[in-house]
Amino acid sequence: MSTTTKIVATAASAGVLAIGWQVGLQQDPTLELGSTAEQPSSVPAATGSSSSSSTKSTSSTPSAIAATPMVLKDGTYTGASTTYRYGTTQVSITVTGGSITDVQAVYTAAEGHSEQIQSRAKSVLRQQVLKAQSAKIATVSGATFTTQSFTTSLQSALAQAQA
Amino acid sequence: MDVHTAYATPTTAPAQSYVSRARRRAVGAGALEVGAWLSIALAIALWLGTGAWHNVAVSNVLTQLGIVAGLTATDTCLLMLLLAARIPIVDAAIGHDRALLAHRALGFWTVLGLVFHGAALVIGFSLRDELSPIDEFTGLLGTGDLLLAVLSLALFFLVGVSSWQVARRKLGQEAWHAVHLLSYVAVGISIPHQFSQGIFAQPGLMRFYWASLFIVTGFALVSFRLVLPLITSLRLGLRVVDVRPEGQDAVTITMQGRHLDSLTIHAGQFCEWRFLARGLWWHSHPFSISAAPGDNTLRITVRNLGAGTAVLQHVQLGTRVHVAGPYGLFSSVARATDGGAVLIGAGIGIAPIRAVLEETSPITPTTVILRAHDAHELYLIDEVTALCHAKGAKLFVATGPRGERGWLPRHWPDTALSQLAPQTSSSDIYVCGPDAWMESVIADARAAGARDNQIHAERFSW
Repeated sequence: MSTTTKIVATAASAGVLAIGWQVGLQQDPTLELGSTAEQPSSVPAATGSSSSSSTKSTSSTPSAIAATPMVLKDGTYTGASTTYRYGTTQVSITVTGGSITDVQAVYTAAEGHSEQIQSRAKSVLRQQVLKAQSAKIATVSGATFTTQSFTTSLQSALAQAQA
Repeated sequence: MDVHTAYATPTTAPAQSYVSRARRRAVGAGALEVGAWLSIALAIALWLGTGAWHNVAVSNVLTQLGIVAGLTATDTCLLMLLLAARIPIVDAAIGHDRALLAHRALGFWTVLGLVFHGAALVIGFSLRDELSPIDEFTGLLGTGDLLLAVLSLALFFLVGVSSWQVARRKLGQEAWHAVHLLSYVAVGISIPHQFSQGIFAQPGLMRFYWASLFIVTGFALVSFRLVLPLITSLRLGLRVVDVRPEGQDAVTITMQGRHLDSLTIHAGQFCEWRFLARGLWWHSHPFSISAAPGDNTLRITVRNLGAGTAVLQHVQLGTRVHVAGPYGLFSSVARATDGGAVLIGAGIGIAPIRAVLEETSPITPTTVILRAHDAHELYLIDEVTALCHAKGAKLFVATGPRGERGWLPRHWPDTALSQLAPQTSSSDIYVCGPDAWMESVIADARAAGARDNQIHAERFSW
């Protein structure tokens, strides 16, 4: 390898890496659930995919939720079952006195590893909904797809409660 | 002297263009090297762009290191495939030998990177999930395409081990090649996990970049390894027309075909030959052209060196021949100086040397050195002698066992290349023979003042 080649290769590579670094700096750090008061630890990532996906999927901060309180009728509502890559999710909510008092979700997993992830995400998702009183919840780090699927089903349950 | 006058007009390009052509080739080689490094940098830069490095928990650091190792190894693996694809512009810039050396050097790092990728991800995930690495591993196996990915890693490892010098020699070319074909399977079954649950699962620049790389590489392989050779072979319609014994254990095979002038082949380059006869069709072998092509014939000289070449000694007349090539820079095309030529061949390595000699202009100060253990290994010696007479080239024939060091016989102690060929420092040096012997010749040529770009070496080990 000639000296010129070395210099050009080094300079070009350094430039490309610097751009990558800059872009990465702009990205929101992975939303860790540790930042919300009642959740001290984060929930495991699904598979290798989550490392990039979870960083990109930013969700609204809990503070935005209080601004738009929803009017909900009392009762129990079951959302649509949503199928996603690792299984299905179906969310039921119980509304008492205009607020969500219980959240139940039925998960089916395509296989064992997804089941682990779902079971870990389950309680985090439930508590987030009870706190937020809406579908505006943070993505569970490492369970991006589970969160997305959960949110979709939850939204359909909330729509029924608002009707 | 009739022959001499026939060569009075230089048949090769004017001397001045050698230097400028060599410079252009060096620029091309430099650009390829820069491109290769840049592709690795891009792979890492795209990962940096995800911002996944913000999380500095031990489990995530390990996981991310594993991902970077996987990305780098995937990139070097694709570079290896591109080097093996025999893309004409790559071959013209760096030659087959350097491409193969780079392919081998990358092979080690690719396998190492993939092993680290697997190990780091399993340990990283197990820390995060608070599971034992074994439970984590078995859990992951159940996930989608990861079983295929693990199989792929095992195949990569197998191919890597089989390509290790010692193993390769034990296996023989045909068995090694069969194992090596598994690397296509290994690459193929590793792709699903990268796009289904791997880092390219999300749409975006990263997925676009990697998908493009995979497609371009696949296209290059299919075009240049399969389609182009098939078209060439069908057009040329080569058949064996003559098989002549050469010394004790070699044969010269002459093939005739159509439109051979359309094949820009230079004496000294090599092709991959596949003889379409029972027991032969399934393996191909690289052999140099042993004579400047002419009269719609091509000629190779084959020594009985292994199972595959043994059968070739008895190939039937009229056998159809599938040919891929020509490849390599071991010809007058690769010249880097306007000075002389020093041609050094050992044993069956004399065959390409003979071909290069045939294309060398008589006005070029030329020295030919032939080396063999004993006289019956001096293949094509009569033809080389005749050509040397015709070209006014100096010829040294050195037979006898090698000394403790150096590449010349034991009874030629303290003889250096610069003594045999005083023009060495300003000449193009062509060397063909066994690997260790060539290293010794190359060291001597450097000691005589030759720069690396003046030294053209052809390994016929595989």
